[in-house]
Amino acid sequence: MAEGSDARAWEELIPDALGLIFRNLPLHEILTVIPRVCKSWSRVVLGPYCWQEIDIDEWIQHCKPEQLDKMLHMLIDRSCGSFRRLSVSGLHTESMFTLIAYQVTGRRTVGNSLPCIWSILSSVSGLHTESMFTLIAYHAGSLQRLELPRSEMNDAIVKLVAPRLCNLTYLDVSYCSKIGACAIEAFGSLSFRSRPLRPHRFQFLRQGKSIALLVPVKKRIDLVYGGGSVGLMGLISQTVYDGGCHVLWVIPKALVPIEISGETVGEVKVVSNMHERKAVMAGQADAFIALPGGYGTMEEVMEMITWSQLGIHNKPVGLLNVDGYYNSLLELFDNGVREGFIKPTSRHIVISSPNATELLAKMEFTNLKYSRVEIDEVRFEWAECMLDYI
Amino acid sequence: MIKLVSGDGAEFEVEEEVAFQSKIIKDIVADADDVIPLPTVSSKVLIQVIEYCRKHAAVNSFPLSPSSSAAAAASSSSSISYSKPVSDPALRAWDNEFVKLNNSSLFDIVIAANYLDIEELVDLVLETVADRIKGKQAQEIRRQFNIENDFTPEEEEALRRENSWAFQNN
Repeated sequence: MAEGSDARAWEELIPDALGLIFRNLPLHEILTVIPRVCKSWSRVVLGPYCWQEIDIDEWIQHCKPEQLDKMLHMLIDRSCGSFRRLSVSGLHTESMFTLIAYQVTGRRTVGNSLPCIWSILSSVSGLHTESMFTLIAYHAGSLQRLELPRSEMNDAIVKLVAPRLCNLTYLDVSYCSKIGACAIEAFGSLSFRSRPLRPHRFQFLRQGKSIALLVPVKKRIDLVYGGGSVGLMGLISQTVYDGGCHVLWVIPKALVPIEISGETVGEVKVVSNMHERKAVMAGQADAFIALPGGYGTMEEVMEMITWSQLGIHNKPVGLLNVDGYYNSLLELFDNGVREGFIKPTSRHIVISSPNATELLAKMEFTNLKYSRVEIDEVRFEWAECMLDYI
Repeated sequence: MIKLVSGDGAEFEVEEEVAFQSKIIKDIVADADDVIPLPTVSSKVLIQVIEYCRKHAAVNSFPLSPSSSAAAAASSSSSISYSKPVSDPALRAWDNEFVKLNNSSLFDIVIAANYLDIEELVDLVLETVADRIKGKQAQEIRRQFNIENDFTPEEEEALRRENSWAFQNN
């Protein structure tokens, strides 16, 4: 390769860019080769620029336990509390967690302005310790994203520390074989009852929980819902309520004994029938989100879509398409468009996404951008009148 | 059409979708007229950057239709990925050809791409540079990138020893 005769000052490239280059390199090159190239590169490696993601899974295979301690100490120190991701497998001593915790908080109080959305990821082999979780809980004040798939913390630990995870917006504890319903309850102080946590089922739960956590913490949205205190909706309502937001629960008289079990949270509004329930919910809400559900859920979603098409409301309707649960329904909609039964413009009434964060973002965007029709008071009144005759 | 003017006064007319690969142009075009001066970018570099943007604009120009997003949802069924979608292999191959440039050219491009906020191009170039550093000794790296050794032999030796403890078992 021909080198340029007019040399560029690679040593003066901005530290951020150098950091981005270096973090593509193997750990031993970053630590032993790069610092010896020149002083400016050496400074970059000492600073936080290439340590926002710390991944020492491979290195760990060859190191001695006491070296792990030293390495973590050094790298976390260099990251200046800015690390968002830490990938370490097989941590097995409590002191290590205490170390990480101490470093992160210690640095942050010094006034580091970098966003501390750190997520602690376990590697394929999983974190097989309980103290990991305890550690995280100590810093739960800032922890927003927690991913601990395949980890081995147990019910007792989760129960102990979950209440501290108050800022969490995303939680992944899938494939954690040792946690059961007890832990799930602890995660949201919820009344969810599920015995075997199969991954598929749990994915639903995780995404549902994620919506619930996003709603109050990030978006300041209140919850209007028709679900019961059982199942996914029970979980969500509790979480939203715990997050300090308003929960309005609309339930028809006849369903009270079926859907209310145990304690309920927030405001309960008992209405005379199913149609009134939907009218009240539609009137009170700014958007509709359907989690994976059965006939009742599908029917309600369809009605909200239809009302949007008729111009009775112009609120976005979202499907939380967890694990592709709603794929075939969405395909049916597409087929409706192809065959001319559904107008292409009406197809966009339904917004779907496999994860909660994206769904909320899409719905917000849609709300701003495609306000198709101004809400028509006359038609809305008409719809309400219609309900009286049904 | 948007007119881009390089630092040395050359004018380039490009389609909006090409120019909008640069987030900065996308932002400023709203409240500027259609001539955008880029005083820090030379025409030689701008030609290369436009070439890249043109290719990527053409490949990325198919907006996600509802049906394809449903299909995407189906394909990403079990795991939720937050990383960028895997670009198609043909584009990847084109990128690999594009960065077969000398280090000085890459340097100029990354400065320009950073200035224009074309994130994918910045990543592409920096990854390429990392590949050229990978597996080399400090001396080789200095030679390849024309970097002056500003360490005394003692300082360099101290640095060599500093972190060697971590890799003695390898």
